[in-house]
Amino acid sequence: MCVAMPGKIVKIEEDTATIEYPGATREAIIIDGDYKIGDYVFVSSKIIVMKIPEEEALKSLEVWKDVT
Amino acid sequence: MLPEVYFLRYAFPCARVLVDFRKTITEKEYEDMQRAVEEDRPLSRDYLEKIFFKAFEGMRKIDDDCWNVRTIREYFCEGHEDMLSTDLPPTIRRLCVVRPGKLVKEIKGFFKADLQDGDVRIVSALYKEAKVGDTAMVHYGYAVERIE
Repeated sequence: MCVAMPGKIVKIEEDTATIEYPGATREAIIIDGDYKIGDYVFVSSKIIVMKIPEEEALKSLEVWKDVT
Repeated sequence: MLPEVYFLRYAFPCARVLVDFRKTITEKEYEDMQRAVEEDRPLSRDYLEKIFFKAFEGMRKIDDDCWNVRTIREYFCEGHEDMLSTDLPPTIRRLCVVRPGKLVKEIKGFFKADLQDGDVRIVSALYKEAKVGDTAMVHYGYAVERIE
């Protein structure tokens, strides 16, 4: 089984977002698009790929917890 | 193209999960893997089969002799979806399924990819000479290869 994990934006400074995951915090660059604190996003190679709706993010974090 | 190089392009988008979730590779291994993708450097078959064992289970169902471009492509473009948790919400499922997208804009060395149905992402191209107008197979946040 495979699960990709979303994170929550907790800080934005210019084009750098700080993203919180369960047990970790990472930074990612906003290349394009409107993002704000509280948005759930997917990151790859240190860039934000896309936003996902909060309810889906929370559900996926639950799935993630179940398989851990 | 060497099948080792071709395989890693398709599999690399899943590698973050191996660091964060399965914890089968270290951050340092991840970084080396990223450099290998960027340099078209083949990693050993033994190593790839150990790290991405799930993919090889799926590939061997297609062809026992799976080290060829055709089987790798068939697995990732058609069989990979079966590896995903069925509980996953739709947006996340779509991210993990490999499918075609059009590169519509270049921004700071990355591309905006339109996969239709409102699925627009920022992706890194894993193949050389990627350009706006290309239709590419997209896996997670990566454009893996150009398709016709």
